[in-house]
Order: sequence, then C-alpha cells, then structure tokens
Amino acid sequence: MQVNWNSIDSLKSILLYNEKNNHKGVKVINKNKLQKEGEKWVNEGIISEEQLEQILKLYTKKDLNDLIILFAVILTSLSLITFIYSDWAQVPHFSRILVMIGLLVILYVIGDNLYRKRSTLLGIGFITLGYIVFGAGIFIALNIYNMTVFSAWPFIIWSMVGLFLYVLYNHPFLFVLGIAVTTIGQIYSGSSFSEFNFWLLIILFFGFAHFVYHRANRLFSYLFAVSFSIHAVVLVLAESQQYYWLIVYFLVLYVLGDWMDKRTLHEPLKNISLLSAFILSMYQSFLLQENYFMNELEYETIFFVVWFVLVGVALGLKWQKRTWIASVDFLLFLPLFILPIPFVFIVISLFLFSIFWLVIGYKYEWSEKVMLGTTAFLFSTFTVYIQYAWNALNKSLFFLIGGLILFLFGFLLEKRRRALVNPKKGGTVK
Amino acid sequence: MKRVLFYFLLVLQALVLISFSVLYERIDEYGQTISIKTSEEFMSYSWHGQGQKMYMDYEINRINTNQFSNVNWNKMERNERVYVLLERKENGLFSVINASDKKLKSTNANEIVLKAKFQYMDSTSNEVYVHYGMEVISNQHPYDHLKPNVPWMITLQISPWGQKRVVSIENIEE
Repeated sequence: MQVNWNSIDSLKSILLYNEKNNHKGVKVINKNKLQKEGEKWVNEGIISEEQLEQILKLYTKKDLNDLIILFAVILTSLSLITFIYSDWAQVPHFSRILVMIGLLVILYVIGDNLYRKRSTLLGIGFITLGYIVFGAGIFIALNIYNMTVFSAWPFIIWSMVGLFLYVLYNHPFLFVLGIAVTTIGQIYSGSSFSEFNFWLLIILFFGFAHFVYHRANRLFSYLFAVSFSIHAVVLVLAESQQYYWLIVYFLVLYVLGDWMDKRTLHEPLKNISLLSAFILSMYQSFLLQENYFMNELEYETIFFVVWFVLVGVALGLKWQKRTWIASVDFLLFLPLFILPIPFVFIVISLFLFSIFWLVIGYKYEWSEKVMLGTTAFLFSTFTVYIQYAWNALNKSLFFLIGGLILFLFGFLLEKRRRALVNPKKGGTVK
Repeated sequence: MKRVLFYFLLVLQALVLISFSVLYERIDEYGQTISIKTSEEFMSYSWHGQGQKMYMDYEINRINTNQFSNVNWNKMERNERVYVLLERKENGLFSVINASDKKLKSTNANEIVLKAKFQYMDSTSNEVYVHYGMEVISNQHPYDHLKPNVPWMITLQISPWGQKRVVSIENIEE
C-alpha cells in the first residue's frame, strides 16, 4: 500500500485545525472533517472503505461538547416553546412581537459571532435557538392576533428559513432541525387540515434533497428517506387515496436509491424503502381481512400503469448494475391485493423475501443480508402468529408463547450468524 | 456573499413577525364587519369562571344538512375545509344561506364567505358542526355588562386573509 504524502499532510492539517479551534484544552477530533477527507481518500484509491471505517472507529467517542450543547439547546427551546402558552405571551400587543424579535436578533448575532470567531459548535447552538425563537414567534403571533390558519403555511416559512440557515452555516444540526420542521409541518397539515401540503414536499425534494445528494452523508440520507416515507403516508391518508398507492411511493424511493452510486446514498434510501414496504405489507395482511375495507377498495387503472412503468425502470437499473439477485426486493412491492385471499399471499411474500435473503446471504457470505433476512423472518413469523393466535388464544398465553418463540428463533439464528461472521472478522462481533 | 444572506435572513424573520401585527391593525381598512348570535346551547353562565379565555358557540356553527344536500357530508373527514356563505338578515345578524366544499363567492355587500373546518355530523338532528376559528375569545375587554342566560350578539371584523377581531359583545334583549 503506497503512502500518499499529500493525504498525510491533509491529515496533519486536520489535526492542527482542531487544535487551533479548541479552547478547552481537551483533545478533540473533528470527526466530520476526518470523515470527509477520508471519503476523498477512498475515492482516490488511497485507502479502502474498510480501512476508512476502521480509522473512524478509533474516534467513536462522540464529542462530549456536542452532547452538552445539544441538551442545553433542547432545554432552552422547550422553555421557549412552552412560553407561548403563558399568560404574558397571550396579550395582543406589539410589545410581545418586539420582545420576540429582540430575542431573535440577539441570539442570531451572538451565534454568528461565536461561529466565526470562537467555537463553531457554540455558535450553531445559539443559531438553533434563534431559529426556534422564530418558530415560536410565528405561533405566538398567530395566537394573539387571532389568525385562523387553514393550511400549514407557517411551516412553509419556518422550513424555508431552516433550509437557508443550512446553506449559510453547513452544520448537521441545522439540517436535522430543518428536515424535522418540514416533516412535522406535513404531519400537522395532514392531521389539522386533512390535506397534504405540496410546498413542503417540494422544499424537501428540491431543497434538502439537493444537499443529501451532494453531501452524501448517511445521516442525511436516512433523514430524507424517513421524511419522504412520512410524507407519502400523510399524502395517502389526508387526500384519501387508495392505500395501495403507498406501494408506488415506496417503490419510487427504492428506485431512487438504486439509481445512486454512492453507498452512503443508496443504502439508506433502499433500506428505509424496504422497511416501509415491509411494515406496509404487515399492515396490509391485517387490513385485507376486514370486509369493510375490502368493500371500500377500488382498483384504479392508473395505479397499475404507473406500477408497471416503475417496475420496468427498476428492473432496468438492476440489469444495468448487474445486481439481479437484489430483485428479490420486489417481492415486497407486489400488488397482491388483487388476488383472492390476499392476506395469505402477502404473508407468503414476506416469508419468501426473508428466506431468499437468508439463503443468499449465507451463500455469498454477506453478513448484512443474513441479518436482514433474519430480522425479516422474525417479523414475518410474528405477523402470522398475531393473525392466528390473537383470536384463538387467551391473551397472556398469546404473549408468553410469542415471547418464547422469539427467544428461540433469536437464539438459533444468532448462533448461525456468529458461525458465519466469526471466521471472517478477527474482532468481536456484536 | 454569506454575510448578505445572514442579514437578509435576519431581516426576513423580523419582517415576518412584524407583519402579523401590522396586518392586525389593517383589519379596519380591509375587513368586513359582521354580527352573529350565540346559540341556544351556549352556556353563558360559565363566562366568569373561565379565566382568560372564553369558548363561544354560535348559531352559525351548526349547519343543517337537509338544506345543503349537494355536499356529501357523510364522506367528510374531520378538519376538512368547508366554505360557508352568510347573509345579513333584517335584524342585522348574519346567518348561513349556503355551505359547500367548493369555493363560494359573495355577490353583494350583505354577504360574506367564511372558511371553516368540518368537525362532525350529528345524524339525529341532521346538523353538521363546523369551526370558524373565532370560537375562542380572550377576556381582555371589560365584559362585565354581559348577562348570563341571554343570547349575545358578537360583532367581529373579518379580513380577507383570515384574521378576525372582536369589536363588541352585547346582550340581545328579547
């Protein structure tokens, strides 16, 4: 393995940069920077991905500062949010708005100064607080000025400001907060107004997703995928769409994931889409047994058209990447509700999915796929068990037997998994 | 460039907050004044024990489904948007003359369209209950002259952008 002196230099400069910015005298490594540099090295072929992960593992001790600041911000935000409901805040007088604006400006200015001159983290903490004060200010103003809200437009404003703040400061805290606000806004829109807010989806898809793609960060990808799934659920529920459209939405997420080349993008997107599809299937298997539900089910041709197109695209991607084996995933996206006694077929599809991955995982010694298959198998068994035993057995017996079965399976499968993984890796296995 | 964005964001946020206050003051210019009556089910005797807030119940909160059967009230979900057309009657009070889930338009100065949220349907009385967002009134003004067990007339100013301001509450003497 050749040593690249340029990369050693950049490693040194990272360490020096951290020493300079560290004022507490405690040795702290900026893991984010190291990770970014490390990914560059992997792309240049200097080190392999596994070596990068090993290096990063050396610095797993999370910045203690991070946690403390995080909690400080959370507690202060909670106090600000509950302050909205206090008596003082409820008076419709301009002074209340002035106070909120004053607080806002102070927090942002202090935060910005700290960010630029002293400590990045502390600065971001104050900026976050300022952002939350802004949101709280909007809600106080809506309340005291008797503004009736008929859609989630306050969240649109709040979410856009969050996005711009992330553009400005580039810190993960702000990204997480921004996506959280967008997602909560959508949930609020669905529950309080029974409508889906398309602007929030646009902000998610064209605003935050842009950074998900360019930063190629696992956390961001997972957040985006989860947020997307939640948006999809709100869409189907609030706009009273047929539930099976979720199959298409989760399939869209899956295809997006497959399309991406970087691991940090395609793994989270695919995993979340599979998880969502799996949960949907479990749910379907119960719903499709209810007569009232089956009576309300209408078949829409456009669904099938869209579904065929998507599956075509997905298969095309698999062909292009030569990952035919992963086509097993499509088992979860089949519109089995068109078959007679659909819940049986759905349960079968869940089991087939789990068993396929287990078998393939063992054959090609992919320990993550073995884990995927195992977990999926457990949940499939659980679904069947609930279906059968909930009505047939006495409740406490139901839980007891359920627990025992899970223990048994867990034990057996763990044993086999350890046997598979241990010979490969020298270290301890979880 | 980034400094500009920072100041822009700061000013934007301050402006957003200020605008709520400014709009409230502007209701006088752009708003329409309406008077509505409290319903029979409204329990006015509990006014003084309620502290800062008063939960009102108006006649216009209830809509008769037989009158407006072009809407499928059974299929409505809670919090879905409903448009209600009110008209001023001879006694000065406004009452419901049309309700729909599609947009309605007011044709003259004696009519006004309000947005409301569907709450529930009472099949026994064939009434639909909706929420306008003005059911909660804060006890900031001197409302000592209000008598219990008498219907009240509430006069409000309503702006086109959905802000509502209570102008006065009076007893309606029979």
